Amino acid sequence: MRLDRLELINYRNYDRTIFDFSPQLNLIIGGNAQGKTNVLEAVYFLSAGNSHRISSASQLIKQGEMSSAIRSKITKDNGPITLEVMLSPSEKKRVKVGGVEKRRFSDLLGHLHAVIFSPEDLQLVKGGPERRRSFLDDTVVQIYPPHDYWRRRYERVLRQRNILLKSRSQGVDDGSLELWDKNLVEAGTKLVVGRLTVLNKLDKFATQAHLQITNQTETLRIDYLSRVTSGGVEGPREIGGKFHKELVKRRKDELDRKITLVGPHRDDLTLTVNGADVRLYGSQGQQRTVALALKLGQFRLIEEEVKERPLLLLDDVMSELDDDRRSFLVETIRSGTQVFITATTRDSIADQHIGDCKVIRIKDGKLIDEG
Amino acid sequence: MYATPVSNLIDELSKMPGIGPKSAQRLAFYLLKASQEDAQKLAEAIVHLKETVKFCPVCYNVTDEPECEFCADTHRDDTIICVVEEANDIVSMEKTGEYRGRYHVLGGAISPIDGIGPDDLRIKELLKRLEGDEVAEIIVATNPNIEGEATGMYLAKLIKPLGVTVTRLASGLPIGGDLEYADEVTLGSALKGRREI
Ligand SMILES: Nc1ncnc2c1ncn2[C@@H]1O[C@H](COP(=O)(O)OP(=O)(O)OP(=O)(O)O)[C@@H](O)[C@H]1O
Ligand SMILES: [Mg+2]
Ligand SMILES: [Zn+2]
Repeated sequence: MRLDRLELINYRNYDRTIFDFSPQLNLIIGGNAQGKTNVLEAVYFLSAGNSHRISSASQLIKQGEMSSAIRSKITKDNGPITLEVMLSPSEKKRVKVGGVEKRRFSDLLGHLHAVIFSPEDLQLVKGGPERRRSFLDDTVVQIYPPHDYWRRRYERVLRQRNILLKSRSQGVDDGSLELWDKNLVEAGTKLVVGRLTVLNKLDKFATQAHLQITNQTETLRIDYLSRVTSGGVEGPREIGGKFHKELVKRRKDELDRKITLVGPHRDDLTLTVNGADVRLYGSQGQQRTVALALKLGQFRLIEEEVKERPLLLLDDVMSELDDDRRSFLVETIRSGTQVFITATTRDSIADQHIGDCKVIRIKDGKLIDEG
Repeated sequence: MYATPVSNLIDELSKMPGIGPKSAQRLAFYLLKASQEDAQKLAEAIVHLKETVKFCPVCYNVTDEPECEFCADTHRDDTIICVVEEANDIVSMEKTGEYRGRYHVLGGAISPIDGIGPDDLRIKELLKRLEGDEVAEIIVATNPNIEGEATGMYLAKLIKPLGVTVTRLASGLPIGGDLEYADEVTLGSALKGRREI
């Protein structure tokens, strides 16, 4: 698949800018804070329905403006399609697919696929569990859009339940908590099942990539860490059953501590390299390699599942990676992938990595013509 | 920041659902520019609405009669009450042409996020209507979202011990959607396929 045209209207530091992209390599060049990441963010937004940087869409609207839009023309194997997203601070996010306004914003999902590599990826390994959960959920959503519905539904029940717990006097069970349990368990089970199904395949691709980057010397292993499943071959029935049992068991604790203590919002991924937890024991280089392998795994998984190459968005990473890792990245993506690379100067990307490409120069939210 | 009359209006407008401070500001400045006549009409329409339209004392539907048309209609089935969140949900149910029973409007759904508990809904009023032995079934037609379902469960826990059957519309309604968006055919078949909670 490829993105032929992107139009940003009142988006971040852009007034109204149209980008025409090459089907192969696009280099987005500009100084710091000129709007390079903003372009990649907009492309990613079309694939994920949210930004890779922030959760509130209102920050994406240009300051002082009432609304903003991202418009795009895309070519897929089965033909062209247009996607348009409209954001406003007071209304829900809106979406048009093929020019037709959809009732649900989530109808955006499943059309464009993109994987973003950025310096923050290291936080996938070093950061807190919520980073890894979002990474996994984002991956599931790209290949199975209904996951987004269960994810949002789960978050909503969880919030209802936590606010209820906060408002109760400590330790008193008046039966009101129970009203939310069924939906918590139902949505939570769907979440866990989606995550496990995808993780199974992601694990294979990421481990493969990791072996290749390390010249077959280091083995990556990804495990799902959860109170509601042992991660094995359990089906929804077992997971739901365990979840519910655990909830009942921890009810008193929950009432005392006034927060929901059981569920996939507390799950995590453990990343081990040659048997040691890389978050705790890995060197900086090992942690980088694992982050890279996770993203490459995501790329290949999406490719295999949707039967088309996702777009590859490389934000500032070319300067971050050492030669070996950089060559490896370029090698794996060479043919048939549409790539977007940001850099502050044209020179920071060595020629042997490039070949034919389109150079797009931006300054202060505007295109500068090559002169 | 603004003259008091302007900021008063902005405050009042931003209390409305779906209106944030920015939209309120935009509406206020629109009204400031509007003709005296248009502004007068709007103000009168609001006052007239509050003076003439009242809640039906039986089911809490909106009406400008002493009782709403569904409560006043002697041909409807008294043994069955369909419980909805808002008065406009009655319109959706009526469009199906499948329902001939009575209604009860709760005035919302249980939602701790919005500070709404069972006591904020017209549940006591519903229980009162069950005091005779006439009502045999309550159909819970709250929205098919988590708040609507939690409200349904609460009602079932309360009402089943009274010997009244409590049913819920069959699923198949648009996932996570509101009743008001469901088309007549979907809603009609959800009504026929209702199940006991
Ligand atoms: N909502 C907004 N309205 C207006 N300007 C914004 C908004 N959000 C971000 N910006 C501006 O966008 C610029 C940052 O853009 P971006 O993150 O794309 O920079 P960049 O080119 O990737 O820089 P770097 O090389 O430092 O990563 C900043 O000048 C910031 O003030
Ligand atoms: Mg940047
Ligand atoms: Zn009535």
